Amino acid sequence: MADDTYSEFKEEQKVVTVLPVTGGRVFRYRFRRQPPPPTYSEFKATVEIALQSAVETIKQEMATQHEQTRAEVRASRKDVLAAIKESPVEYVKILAEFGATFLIFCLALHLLLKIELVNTTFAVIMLIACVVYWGMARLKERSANSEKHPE
Amino acid sequence: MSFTDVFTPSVIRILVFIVLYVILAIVVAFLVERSLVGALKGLKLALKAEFTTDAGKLNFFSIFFLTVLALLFNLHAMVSDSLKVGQGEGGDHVLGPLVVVGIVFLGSVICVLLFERKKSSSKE
Repeated sequence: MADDTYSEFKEEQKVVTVLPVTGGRVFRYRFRRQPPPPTYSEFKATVEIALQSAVETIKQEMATQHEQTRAEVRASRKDVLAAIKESPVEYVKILAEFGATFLIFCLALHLLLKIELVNTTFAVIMLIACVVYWGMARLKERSANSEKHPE
Repeated sequence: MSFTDVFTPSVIRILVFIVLYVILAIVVAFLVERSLVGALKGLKLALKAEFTTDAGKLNFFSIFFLTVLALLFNLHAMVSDSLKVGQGEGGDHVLGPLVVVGIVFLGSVICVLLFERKKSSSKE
């Protein structure tokens, strides 16, 4: 019996503390029992769940972006093919212009910096070929225009 | 420090390459846009889009990854040796890989320029 009384008294002493304040007012301050800290396994499980959800989110985001990029590339490819079908002359002309620009750049690098991106002889021959292709495309364009609009 | 100390042959070669590279970029953009002002605006737009759009970022990071791999496996020395004409200047392992990476980057920028041009034309 005495033991029970003592334990009750000790419990009450632990939980409630009376703090005297001036003016005869008394604050009762009750200590809250802190929840026990999580064990290592609980902590590990929480971190694993958080990481799994983050990885899933990143995976979904990457897949969405990948699909979006593929759709853009597909649409552009269709546009390029449509443009080539619509006007092969323009395609040959722009190809010849890009090729000639790159070959001139390569020859300039060769002359000024002694760096050979493309074999010099091949570059010269291809440059001439590009000019010929461009001329042929231009001729075809002119003849098509004159057929459309005969004067 | 005199003028010749700063402008060593290697630095001059890099400066010449930068000038040629800028001219090439403007000419290529001109071929796409068909006007000088349009080419400059297009290049600005493409450089911005290179770091903001998905396609641009993908291209840029693949170029960056290839460059890191080349440096890691010492491929830059092999590239510069294979691009050198004759005996040339030895020991310069900067310009050759720079030329290759620069051309690949320009290709990426032009691709992004075409994408952005298509987007803007479809919006209009």
